[in-house]
Amino acid sequence: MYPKSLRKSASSMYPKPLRKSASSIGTATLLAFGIFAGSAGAGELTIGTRSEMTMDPHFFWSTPNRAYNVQLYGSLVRLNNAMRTEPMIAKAWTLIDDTTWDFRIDPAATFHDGSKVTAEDVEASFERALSLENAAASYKGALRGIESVAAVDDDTVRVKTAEANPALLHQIAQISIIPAKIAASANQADFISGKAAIGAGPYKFVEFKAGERLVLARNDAYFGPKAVWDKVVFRAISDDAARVSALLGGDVDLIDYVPPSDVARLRREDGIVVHRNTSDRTMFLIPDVGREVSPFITDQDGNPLENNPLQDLRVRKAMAMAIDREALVARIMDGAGTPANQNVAPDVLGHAPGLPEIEFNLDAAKELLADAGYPEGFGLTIHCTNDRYVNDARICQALGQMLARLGLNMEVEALPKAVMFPRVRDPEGERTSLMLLSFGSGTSGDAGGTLTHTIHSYDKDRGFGTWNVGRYANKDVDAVIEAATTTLDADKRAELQSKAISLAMSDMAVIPLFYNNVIVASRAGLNYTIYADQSTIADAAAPAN
Amino acid sequence: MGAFLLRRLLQALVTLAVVSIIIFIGVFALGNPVYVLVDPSAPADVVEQTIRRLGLDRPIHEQYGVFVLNALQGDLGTSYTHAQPSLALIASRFTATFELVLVALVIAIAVGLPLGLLAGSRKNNWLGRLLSSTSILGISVPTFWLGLLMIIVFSLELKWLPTGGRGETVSVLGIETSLLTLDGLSHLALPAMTLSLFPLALIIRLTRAGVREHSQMDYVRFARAMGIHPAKLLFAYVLRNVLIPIVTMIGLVFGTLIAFAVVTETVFAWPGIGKLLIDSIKVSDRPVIVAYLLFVVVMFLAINLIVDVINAALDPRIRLDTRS
Repeated sequence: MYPKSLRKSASSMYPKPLRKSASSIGTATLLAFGIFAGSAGAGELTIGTRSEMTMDPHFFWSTPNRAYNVQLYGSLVRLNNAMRTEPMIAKAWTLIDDTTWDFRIDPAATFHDGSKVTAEDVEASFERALSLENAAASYKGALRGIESVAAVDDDTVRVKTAEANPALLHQIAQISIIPAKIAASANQADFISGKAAIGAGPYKFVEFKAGERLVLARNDAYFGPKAVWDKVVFRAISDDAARVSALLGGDVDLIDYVPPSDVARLRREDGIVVHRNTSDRTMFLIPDVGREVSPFITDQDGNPLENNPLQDLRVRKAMAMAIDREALVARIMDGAGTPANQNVAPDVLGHAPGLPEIEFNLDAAKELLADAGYPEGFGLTIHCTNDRYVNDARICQALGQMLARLGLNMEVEALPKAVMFPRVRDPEGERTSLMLLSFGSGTSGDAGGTLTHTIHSYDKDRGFGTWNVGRYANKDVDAVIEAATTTLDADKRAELQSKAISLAMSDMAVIPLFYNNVIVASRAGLNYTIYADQSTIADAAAPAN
Repeated sequence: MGAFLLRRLLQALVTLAVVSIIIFIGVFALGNPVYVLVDPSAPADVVEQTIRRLGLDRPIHEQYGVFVLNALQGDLGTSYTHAQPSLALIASRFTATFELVLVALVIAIAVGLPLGLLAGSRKNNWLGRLLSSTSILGISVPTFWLGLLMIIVFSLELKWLPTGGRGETVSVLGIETSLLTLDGLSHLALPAMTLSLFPLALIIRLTRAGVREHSQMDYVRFARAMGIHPAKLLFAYVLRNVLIPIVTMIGLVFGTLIAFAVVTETVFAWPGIGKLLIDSIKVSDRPVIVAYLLFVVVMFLAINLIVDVINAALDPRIRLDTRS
């Protein structure tokens, strides 16, 4: 898996003169670790990370924050690198009936202040996550369909859901557990100063400097497997180039969100290892199939069209066939991806394994387009973000060129996400005619999230189709997706989900492009386990023996 | 002096009111920030509740009204991403930027002024020509490129200095500073040098031009005819006159560097307010953007005031009280 480091002899593993004393301590301990394996911790790890932590664990729900939270505060259950659930503060759970779950708290679980984790603390933490004022990205969004979380006795928490809810474990994995008295009284400043930054995670708080760094130390009293590192420093380096140079300069041991264009160069460097694996994300295009007239579609001369060609399946198929996915992955993504035939990644539960690959065939595509009545093509604007996904603006340009070869008169519009997302999320807004989107499955652990949000028809009241910007609507598909959301049996659910995705793909509800990769780079001598949702976890790094 | 200050204060309040309206309209045009901030899988009803709770569903004039009412009580809103009052957030990051800009300006003045005097004091010498042509380079090289170049040369190749970050800081009277530790200084060196290049080049050019212009003036000719020592003439008479436009320029550049050290801070991961602004704009953290821009306006108003007072002290002919 790490051919570069394997090829090196042990002495050439650390070729660079280490400038900082901190790193040399780290290396010394690291070498010691090789000899006295398992005796002490592995020293200090400095991570250059793209995203800074929001210290208040219930204020801002996002994947990077959840990754920090699980290391410092901990949750009832946690997600592993493949997005499967594992016990954490909850030692075990039982399903009383389809809508009632009992979680038993690990009797050994304690907070960093030494107090025992009780059901009351869990209840108070959920209460706080649901009701925190001023939260623009509330954790409430993670707890859809959960009716109550209540303490039964000291060690038991009962969760009731509105319907049978297979995503429940993934949902509660989002919520950090803190002591009840802190949940009741602490304000955001208390978490930032560290006064209230007390949880039950494998690491405990040492220092936080906004915009600069977060320092954690191993919690020796942790009830689970002990943390790998004595001390972990997360340095916030949001700029891609700056993050890469920090690794090259030896200022940090590991960086996340490595730009694919730097991978080749990093591989050539001595003393640097690139780690990569598939993510749970898929990149795809959303065509506007819902409207009779679409705002960004014109005839070849730029006059508005009376009808919407994207409503014709043949047109969508022609567009899908005009995209050279291999070239997209190889040239724009520098190999960091795999051509996709659906918008659910292969490792995600519910992925439909039997679907045919989408062939790249420009001639056949042109024929299909002519059959549909557009031999001359039409004018179309593709909208993309330019600061949200890896290479999004470049992908957009390339897609514009590929679709232009089909004979469409393409306009490419790449916008900052701060402009783009409000535009497509506003139900009354004009949205887009063709839009680039990437979606992951981390929060549901299976294809359920992607299906309910991007494929199910738009239904504001029931919370379906939030990201169904093209307003694709197929009652048969909806029925299968809904059946899956209340099927507790994992195999049956996966079967329903792959059926739904197969149906949607035969309609070309979305045009799949490629499955994303997660890329992390470190100094030589470290192994790193990639998390599919791009979480950056200190203990995913460990000294290579 | 009193009347002058009062008049300036009134002007400042009007400016602030007008600018706050412009900022608010601009930020409003970006669209609803909740759609950017919220996790993609949050259901629509939660998103709508959040929008209502934050008051973002109300018309723009109502939102502005609420904002002004809160602002008058010193509350410019809570950052959506940092969970901290936006003004406190800016204040906590301000010292890092202030320190960086201060050191950059000290370098620029300490190097630029003598070089400019030297280049201007002799006619058509090779040093003057060399300095004026290299200073053009200093003005035209983009900071982003220069910063990366510095990192490649000093951090990656020579391995003398770290690639970024602020390093070890010491707290003096509650203010964090990296000026007092070796580690802090080594982190400060590259960004400060990068940031100083532009004002350095500007100071060289302005000083040189000023000295050359003044050396043709009557008072200098007379002084020279009276046999005053050239050095005394240069430092006691010419410099004083040359300084007036330079002080004005330094004041403006100081403000600009503080407000827009964005690029340098981003390249060197320096935790200042410029990086805060960029990160906030990227995620539509509206309270921080608004507070930041208002902060910048106030800062410029203050700097202009200070510059006027310093210039009056330098040149008694400049009067603050008279209307001109």
